[in-house]
Amino acid sequence: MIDVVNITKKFKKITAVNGVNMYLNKGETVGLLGPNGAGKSTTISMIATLIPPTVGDIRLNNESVIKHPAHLRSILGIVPQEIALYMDLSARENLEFFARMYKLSGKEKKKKVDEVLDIIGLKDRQHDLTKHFSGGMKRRLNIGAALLHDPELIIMDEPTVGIDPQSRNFILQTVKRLNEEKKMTVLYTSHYMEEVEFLCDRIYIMDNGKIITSGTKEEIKNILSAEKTIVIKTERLKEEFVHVLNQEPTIRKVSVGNQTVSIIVPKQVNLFQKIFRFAESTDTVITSIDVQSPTLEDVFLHLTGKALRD
Amino acid sequence: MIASLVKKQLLLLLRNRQELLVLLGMPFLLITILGVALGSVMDGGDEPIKGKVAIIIQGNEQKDKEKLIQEIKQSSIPQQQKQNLIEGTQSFSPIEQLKGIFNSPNVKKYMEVSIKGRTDLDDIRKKRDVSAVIVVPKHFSYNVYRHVFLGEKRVPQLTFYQNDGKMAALAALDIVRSYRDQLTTNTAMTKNGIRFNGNHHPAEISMESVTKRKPMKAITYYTVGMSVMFVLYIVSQVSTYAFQEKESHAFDRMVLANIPIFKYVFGTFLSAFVLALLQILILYGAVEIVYGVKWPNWFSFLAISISLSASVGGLAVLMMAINFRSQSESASTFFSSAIVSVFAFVGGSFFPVGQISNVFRWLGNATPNGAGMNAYLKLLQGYGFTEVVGSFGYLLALSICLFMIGWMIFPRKEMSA
Repeated sequence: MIDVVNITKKFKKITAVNGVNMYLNKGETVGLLGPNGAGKSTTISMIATLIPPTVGDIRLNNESVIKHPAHLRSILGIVPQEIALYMDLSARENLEFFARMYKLSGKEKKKKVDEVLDIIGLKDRQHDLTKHFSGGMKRRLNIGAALLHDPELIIMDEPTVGIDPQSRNFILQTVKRLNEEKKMTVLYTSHYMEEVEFLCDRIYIMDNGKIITSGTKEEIKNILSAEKTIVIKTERLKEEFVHVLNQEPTIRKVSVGNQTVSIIVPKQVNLFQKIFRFAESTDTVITSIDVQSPTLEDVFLHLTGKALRD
Repeated sequence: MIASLVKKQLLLLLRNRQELLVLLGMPFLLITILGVALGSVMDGGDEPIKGKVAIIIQGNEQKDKEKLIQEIKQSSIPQQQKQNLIEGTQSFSPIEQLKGIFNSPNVKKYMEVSIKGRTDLDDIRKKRDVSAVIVVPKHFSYNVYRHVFLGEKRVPQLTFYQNDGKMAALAALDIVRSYRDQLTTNTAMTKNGIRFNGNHHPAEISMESVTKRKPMKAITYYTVGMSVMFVLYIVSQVSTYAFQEKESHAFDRMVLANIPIFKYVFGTFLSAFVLALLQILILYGAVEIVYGVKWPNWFSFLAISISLSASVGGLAVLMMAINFRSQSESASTFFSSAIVSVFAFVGGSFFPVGQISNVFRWLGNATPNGAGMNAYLKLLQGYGFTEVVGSFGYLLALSICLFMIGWMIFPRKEMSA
């Protein structure tokens, strides 16, 4: 359906996106993962025809959309990271306004607005001003505004940023339903690994403006099939303990969280005795050790050397 | 679709109490404060037109009359016609008629008129207290007779010097214009064989014209001054909203809905136009109810309000385009924080700066608010639409120019990728 061919975007001396290639098949949900500043938003702005690439092409069914964006725009719904709504309009007024922009009028407009209010679960609050909504409700309305013209393709740029778990769950379920019931193609960007794992058939991982890997969830996890993750929870985590772990040649990656250290090691290596010895020598109290199969988060850490939310 | 853009803008404004307070509450408050505070200074009695007018008569009307009668007698025209022309000439004294008008008690109530013979014109013009000087040149009456009775094409001329912008000068100019119109009527009557006795009519016409100019009260002046000033804030309001719309990516949704660039820009123009018109109507409506400031001619008032609102729309489009081009709302901020005050000052919103110098008058009339104010004040003084048609046309032309400039500099890639 969509082919992104070697697109690059330069802003003066900064290269925000560098030679990105990707594709979206009709009806699939594709995740675009990456930390802040990876170039995800610039990439999707180019795919949405909002900014032109410096180099490269974007094709819809083999036709370039750079010079003739109208067709792609007519089948595209976009959910920006920002709340692209009018805070002093009610939910219904916002939806009616954008419906008019899509040339819907009369009964058709009313029917569509009612349908979208149902999908996003805001029918009871349709007459309330948007500025009085919670963060989660605003995000839902932000999605609703992109659904008014029954798009075939929907691009969502981190649609769950800064909201409560309940609203987040509602949004994820809604996106899954849209994909399954309406056969919508979804391009979903996030830096929440679990969202992408839940929603997406295929995943692109992006860092520093480049796609560093892509594939299905299983394909990506297989990158670390020869490794395992050991999560060490401590009561008193000392810097010296992390230091000695970093010095240990069999450990491939070390990442530090709140009183927690995660290490990636080859599957065949048994490190338990060494870990306890290191803890004792550095006055660190270990409360638990957990051995895990690799997650997408681990893969990201492995590929980029940093956590997704860095 | 454009109606939806306007409706959206209206709803956003109606729900923003702070903006409403600035656009409606503030001007009403200032009209009240300035109108009451300066009322005693500006309203000063029932005689608004005060000033001196000098008439310099350089010729001798009796000699002109005798000269023409002599020429008629010596001409070869039929005897009966000769007799009619001589009688007409003897009963018609253009200079005396002009003096009669200016010496009439009604006119003298409003201005002090001095009639002088051969005097140094420069000396009189240098006198600061003389608002206007009318020079009747040598052989003026002779030329009038030939023009009126013998159909000579050369039109006799008076020279009018306006020394200041006081109402006395404007009233004197009106009287001279009425006098001229009466002479034109006399000429037409003579050509059609109708005898006239026009020595008294022009005076009546002139006084009717003068007394139409109603005295300007402080509350009336500041109603106009504040309304034309505060209507400019619609420019920054609409252009700022447009930029915020872009920043929040709501504009992107419109781009993706394939809205043509012209519709978006025209929607912005129309939003500002409607808001400005509503602001003017609400403000004047409130002032009429509370302070009794009434419009003598609703058609003319509406015409000027529409043209002023259109120029506000044009300015809003220009500011929006600059904001989009510069990717900041600094143009709107600069407009509301600096340009509005400068425009209001030179436009005469605080006091009639046009009286300071011709440069200020010209600058003031070049601003949309100044042109609007000039027209509104004339209407409130009783002038008709023909007297303000220049301001009406100027404001419409200005709005078209501003719209076109805004449309040209609006970044095209915003809408076409």
